[in-house]
Amino acid sequence: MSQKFRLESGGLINRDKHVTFSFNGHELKGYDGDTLASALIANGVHLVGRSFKYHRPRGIMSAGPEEANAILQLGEGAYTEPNARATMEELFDGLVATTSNAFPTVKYDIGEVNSLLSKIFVSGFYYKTFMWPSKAWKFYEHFIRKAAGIGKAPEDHDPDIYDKTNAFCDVLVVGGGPSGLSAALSAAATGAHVTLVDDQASLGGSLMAQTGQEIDRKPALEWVAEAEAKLLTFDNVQIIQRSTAFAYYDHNYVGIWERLTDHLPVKPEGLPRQRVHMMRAKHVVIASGAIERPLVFCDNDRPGIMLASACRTYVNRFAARPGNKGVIFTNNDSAYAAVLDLVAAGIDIKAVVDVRQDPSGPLMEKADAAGVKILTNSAIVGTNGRLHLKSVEVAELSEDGETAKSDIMEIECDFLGSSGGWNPTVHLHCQAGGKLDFDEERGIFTPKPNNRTNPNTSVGSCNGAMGLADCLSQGFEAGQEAAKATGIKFRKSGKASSAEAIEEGNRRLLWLVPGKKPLGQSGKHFIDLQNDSTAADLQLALREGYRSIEHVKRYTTTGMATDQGKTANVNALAIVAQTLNEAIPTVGTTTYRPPYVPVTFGAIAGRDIDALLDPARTTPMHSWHVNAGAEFEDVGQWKRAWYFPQPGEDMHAAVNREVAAMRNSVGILDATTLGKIDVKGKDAAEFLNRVYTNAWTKLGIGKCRYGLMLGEDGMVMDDGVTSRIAEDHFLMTTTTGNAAPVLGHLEDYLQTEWTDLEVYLTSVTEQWATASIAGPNARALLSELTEDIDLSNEALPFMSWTPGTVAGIPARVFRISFTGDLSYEIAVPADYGLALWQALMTAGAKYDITPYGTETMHVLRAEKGFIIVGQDTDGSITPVDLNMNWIISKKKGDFIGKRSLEREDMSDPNRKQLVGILTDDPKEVLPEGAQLVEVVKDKPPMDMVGWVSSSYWSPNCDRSIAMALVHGGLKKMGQKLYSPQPDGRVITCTISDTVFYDKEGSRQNG
Amino acid sequence: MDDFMRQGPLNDLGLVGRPSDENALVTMGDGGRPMVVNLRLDPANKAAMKAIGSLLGVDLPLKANFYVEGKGFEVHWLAPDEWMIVSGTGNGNDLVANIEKALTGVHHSAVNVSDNFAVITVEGEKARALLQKAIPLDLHPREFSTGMSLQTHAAKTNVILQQTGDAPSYKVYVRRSFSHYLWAWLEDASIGYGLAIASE
Repeated sequence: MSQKFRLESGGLINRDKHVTFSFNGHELKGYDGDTLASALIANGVHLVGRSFKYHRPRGIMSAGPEEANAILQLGEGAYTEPNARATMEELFDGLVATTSNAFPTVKYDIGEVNSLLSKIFVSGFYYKTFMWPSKAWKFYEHFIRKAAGIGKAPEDHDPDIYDKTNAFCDVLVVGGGPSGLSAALSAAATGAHVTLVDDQASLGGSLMAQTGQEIDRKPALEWVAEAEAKLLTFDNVQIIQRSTAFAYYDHNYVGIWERLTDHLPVKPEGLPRQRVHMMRAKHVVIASGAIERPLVFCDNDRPGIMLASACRTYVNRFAARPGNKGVIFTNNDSAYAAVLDLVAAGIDIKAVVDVRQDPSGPLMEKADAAGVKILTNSAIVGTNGRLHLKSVEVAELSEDGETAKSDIMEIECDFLGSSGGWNPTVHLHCQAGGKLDFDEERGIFTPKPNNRTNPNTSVGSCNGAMGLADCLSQGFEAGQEAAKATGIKFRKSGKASSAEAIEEGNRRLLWLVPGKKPLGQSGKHFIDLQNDSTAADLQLALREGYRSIEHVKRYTTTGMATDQGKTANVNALAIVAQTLNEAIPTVGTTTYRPPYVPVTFGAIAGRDIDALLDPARTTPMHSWHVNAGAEFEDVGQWKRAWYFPQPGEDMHAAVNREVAAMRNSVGILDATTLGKIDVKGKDAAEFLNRVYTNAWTKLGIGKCRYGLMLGEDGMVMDDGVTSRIAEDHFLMTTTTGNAAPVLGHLEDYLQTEWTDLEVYLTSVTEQWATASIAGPNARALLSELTEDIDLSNEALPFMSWTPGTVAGIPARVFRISFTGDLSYEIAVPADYGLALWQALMTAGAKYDITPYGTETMHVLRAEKGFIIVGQDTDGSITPVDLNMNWIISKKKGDFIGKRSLEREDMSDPNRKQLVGILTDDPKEVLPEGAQLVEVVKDKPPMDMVGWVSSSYWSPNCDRSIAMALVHGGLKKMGQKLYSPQPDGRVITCTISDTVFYDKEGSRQNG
Repeated sequence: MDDFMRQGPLNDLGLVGRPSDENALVTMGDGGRPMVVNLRLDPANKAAMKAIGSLLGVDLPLKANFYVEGKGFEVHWLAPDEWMIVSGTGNGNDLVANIEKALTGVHHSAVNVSDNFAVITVEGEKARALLQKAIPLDLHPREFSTGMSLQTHAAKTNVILQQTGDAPSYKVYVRRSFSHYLWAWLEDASIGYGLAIASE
């Protein structure tokens, strides 16, 4: 038996197109045009889940994005998706949905026992109970998380493709209801670039749920179709359907989440599932509508209890009956629109329970005339039915509305629609920094206009205009004004559409509907259905001293579920205000934050995943390294060859071989990644004087010098070798990772502090490829590849450079060394990098030339005590701490960091200082990062005097070597230190100087 | 120098002979190895500006985000005191030497950066939509059109974007170490459009 609750006719569904879907393993039928929720309702399924905390049976409560109960798991396997709102999912053939929060089944859920324990599961329960003893939280947390979660994340890699694009327009219209359509039409006619975003499969918004509306004297949906057709004739208009403007950031930057294939039974292969448009709009017209506010009454959460507007939507738009016998509970006239439509659809409305003492309004009058039973000054004080609503209990209200009289009338029914008025959807307005006004009469927050930072206009019901006539005229005017404000060449846009104005009637704001007993003593007044927080929880939080609505929210978790309290928040703050006896605007709202609805992570990540997550920068020689079997290390965004293992070698063996080979014959390193900055201008030397600690004026042309660059704080920021090309021309090198920050730092000084200096900087990092050859045979090798360079020690001594030709390529040859051995860095235009490398490898074969990677480079430089900025320094280390006083010029004028270096604290002998560390057992290699102590105790804490910054096995020294930053280390040469290890061992070591190999430096100078 | 020793950064991608999708709406290709020189100069120095103008056959453009064409040179405005000079032929070092001669005694900096860049060409019906995914500036013709050139970022790397024709067709100058990443990113983003590889 299928679709028992489908009406014989009507609705915006396509009855010719049957759709089969599955819910909790049952095969069900629906129609094209249904949502998952409407199809379930047409099949008489209300029970769709269990609540978060108490595992109470829950049913579909809305027909829109505000849904708090019908949060389902969709799809299977890698495609499964949690937290889908059944009300927003278009039905398609083969859709598979399951209940999220029930075990073993939704009808018999083991967690329902929590409901019996609800007296102890009050707000703050977890904070109060499981935080003691403090260490046990880790144990509790495991079970609590498992029991509490809603939905399952897929365990496999997401197989879908998510697209992302930047987008621009003059006028962005959010919402395709009457206000939004009206705005889009008037803006489009001016010639402005208009983008209309709507979250449904078809335009029309609220009009799809309303029968009998007329616009321009024709049926409203006919007007919608004409409006859409007209918009499509403009080539300056773009309509993005099935899309949600989920976030509004500064500078009118709006995130739009488009669902491209979710509704299709067969997903087209290779096409994106969803797309995020990062829209920058000159003006935003917000026409996001309003969301009906439920009344807060006792046991207001049973399946079958929904918003009055949802009942109306299901009947009118989807031709689905929410039930057979209904009761409507209201405090205002709008719910009677639902009453009239339900009655017209042949549904038995047992009664309208109206809290108003003397209700007025045209719709109520119509219902009254039609003979609907209306119980005034009455309230629902209780409900019955475990898995589905069976009856409601009605009592008359006291004069002040705070209590109910004891005469109870029970009315049998299988659904209940409640209406507490309409909350304007002000989320985007607030995300944009907009403020709110409080409308005392209607009990709603409305947008305060005029946001200068983010030009936007709210129109229609999100602006508090609840009548169709106002929606149309506000939209029209705002669309036109928005276009005008963007400064485009303006064409006049005609005349607004019109509709009959309808009075709203009166209302009685009864935030908390009394039950049979005082609050909390029997039954539950749910505020936030998804997070199971109640009015009693709010009052408890207030009794415990919470006052700020932000604190109350977090303590009770009200409004913190995936629906972000769309139906809960205003009720919650009003009840807080009432309890505190304060005005509602004084309590205020919580902060509206993006996203407006849950957005898949995939859509936010877009295509910046896997290999495209971050750029992998490669050198011209990269392909050679790959072919040689190199392992790579990430240095900044660069892929640098780490080591070149030969068959059967692990990293340790490879590095030992590479280190020894370099010292014994010749090694080759790809040094392309170092930052390079061309410094040009008559003040270039003076500029270097100011940015480095040492003096540069007297550096001869053709010479190179090492420099330390400090921050204003006197701490080491970068280092590198700079060479003089000409009187007014230098080439600076920086560390690989700091190339861009150093250039930025230098440009900053040139453009803001030293505008008097004639210096231009140009980044040439990528212009040059650099191969560094080092070892006793380096000179012999190079001499085979060059004819025009004199490589003798006299002609090209250590720390000098020369232009010339290497392997037939124009090159710059620098005799500089990071290994402490005889070394040449050969730089050629990058296009020739691979050719240079291949030539060196070929000519080097007879010397057993050995390519080495960054790990070997680290060992080699550590053997010589050369620092690596960022490894042996951490932003708190001065040149003095590095025992490099020699590099600080005393004669020249100011340089960056000089003043800070002169602070008293900088000469404190107990500062951390860089020293060498030799383990007493030469075979023991200290772990980098190991802590050092002078006195070993049985267990931590111990007084730490420093830590190991670099540590390696040195094949050339045949022992371990290390460097460490140790308090007062420089005056403690020869002193013993101890390094307690996590496994309980203690490594004993001795402080030494930092040069472990070739202390005289004869190798690099020879 | 033997030309076979020269390896452009996109050579590793093996584009030559790669099959194209049928009915492709975007064509991407290797823009080759143009000569590129970066020039820094104070535009207030009228005499120097004139000297450079007569050397290049065109005045350095002063209008932000535009490029001009002279005798064999394209000159892109990069910043108020910075230009990129591009030519399909010639040696950057020779041009640098000529500039230095023309600007003797004038504070300036001319640097050969020909090897600094890879050039990716993008054209076709969906070329703009494709680049718009990567680039956060509005590429609609009313904001950006043929004759314009701007520095921005594409995905997570810096680029200089030049619109060369109304097809539309573009050149993307990207630092060479990022070129494999950017090519892969754009190729991936062409999903649904169909991609053809330009045959030179």
